[in-house]
Amino acid sequence: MLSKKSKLFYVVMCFAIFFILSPFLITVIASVAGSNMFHFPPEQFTLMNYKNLFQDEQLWQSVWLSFCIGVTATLLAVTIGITAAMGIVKGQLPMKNVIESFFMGPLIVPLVTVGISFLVFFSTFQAEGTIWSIILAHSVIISPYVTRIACANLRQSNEMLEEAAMMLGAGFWYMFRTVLIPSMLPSVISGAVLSFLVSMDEYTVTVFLAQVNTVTLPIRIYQYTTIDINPTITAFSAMIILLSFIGLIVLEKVFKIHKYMDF
Amino acid sequence: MIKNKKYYTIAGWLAALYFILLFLVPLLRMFTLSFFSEGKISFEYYTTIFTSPVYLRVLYRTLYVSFLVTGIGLVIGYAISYFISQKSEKQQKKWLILVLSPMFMSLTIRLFGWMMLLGQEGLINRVFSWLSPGKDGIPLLFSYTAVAIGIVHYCLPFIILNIYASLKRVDNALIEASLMLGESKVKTFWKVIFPLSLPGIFAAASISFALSASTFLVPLMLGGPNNLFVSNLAYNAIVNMGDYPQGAALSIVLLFIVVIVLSIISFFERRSRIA
Repeated sequence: MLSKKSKLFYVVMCFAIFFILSPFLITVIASVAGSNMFHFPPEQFTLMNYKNLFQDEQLWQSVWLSFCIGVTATLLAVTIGITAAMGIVKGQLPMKNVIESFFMGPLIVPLVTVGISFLVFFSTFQAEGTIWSIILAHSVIISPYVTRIACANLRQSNEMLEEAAMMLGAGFWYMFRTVLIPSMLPSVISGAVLSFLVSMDEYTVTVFLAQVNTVTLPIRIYQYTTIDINPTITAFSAMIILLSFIGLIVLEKVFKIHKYMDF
Repeated sequence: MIKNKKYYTIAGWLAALYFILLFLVPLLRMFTLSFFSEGKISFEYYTTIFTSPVYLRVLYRTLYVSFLVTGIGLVIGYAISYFISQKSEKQQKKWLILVLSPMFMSLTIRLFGWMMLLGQEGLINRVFSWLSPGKDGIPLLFSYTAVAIGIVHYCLPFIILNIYASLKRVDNALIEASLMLGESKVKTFWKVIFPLSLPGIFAAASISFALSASTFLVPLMLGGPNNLFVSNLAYNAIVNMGDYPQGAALSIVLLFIVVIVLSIISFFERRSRIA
């Protein structure tokens, strides 16, 4: 039997869950609404938005662009993360604590500050707006997610394995490929997935660098929702929301991601 | 393994070099840019910020809303985390995934959802006008209430994650001891559980403040032109007016505000640990 108090707590919790999920619910409802998307309740239901969605080339171009930027930037970030962790945990760097917080810097410095500094920096080479400027910028701001998890992994790793490999005649490079990288892989992958998601959704820094031919997905969504209002975006958003929820459940079932949720 | 140490050090330096080139150098360039006016060192851009009433109002708004939403977020987040931590292991996972799911969704899409909810003809206004007929609903969208709601929704998963982690670390034996020795449940909460979860609260407060004060997209989409934050002003200075040094100065002021508030929070955290 539930006491009166815990019943009240349940009601409050239901409100909280409703608050958390409400923007997703409304988007799914709006995606099948025939009328103006800012009008509630919808007057009729249609699948028009979904039909238009697959003919909207502009939107899919942005999806592809963001995907390419995300993949390249994540590869760079993984390289930074692994090498940084090797240096911090196992190498001989001076003032290790300072260097470690330096690598965490992009999480503390406001993204607007980072965005402006990249704009100033890349404009000296006339490189602002190029796809590479966005990739390099993303690689810096998403790398902390990999670096942090790679450091944590190396701190717990068993040094005996590494020594055994070297003792048995492996060179550093061979040991690195066959012992160190495989032992770091699971945690590095979860860091990489997270940083890929951050890159796909990055708006604040990108908006300073993006130009007409490098409109990434979040900027496109912003344009479709506020500047030239296009109801197709409701269908796209609803699709992304459903896919994310399915992905989340699958990831939890297969990888138990709640263990890695420690940002 | 002296030889290996050398390789590790080289790897570390390579990563540091990348970061110096693409993180430190751009920041320093922007920093120097904000101190030069027509080729001479000047504090012109900073004095503009601290004397113009427009800039001061936005600075005040940014700070006020950030503190407000951090407070609200901590209360809601603590209640949710405590509720989840009381469940059985298996239930906890399900609740956690549900509550943290927004973190994995695009922020632009989330804010778009809030735009539809808060608008003049949106769901929330409909409910209000249904509850009190005759009155026109209050336009929530493009007010700073809307910005506050958006930021709370944005920060909540991070707050819950931190507080939940610290609640999990509270030793059950201590709670049982307190109950066994005859303390009431409420007193046990305030005397045992709450003080032991303080580290999580401090961590949640810092991340929530840092996210709110530097948020750019939330005021842009939910606040409209009258509820801008410092970050939006910096953007406008650069993109609309082409005034790079002024934008740089604004964003550096923002950086210092965040760093100062975070150091104050960590100062209190250290004091609470000693006490």
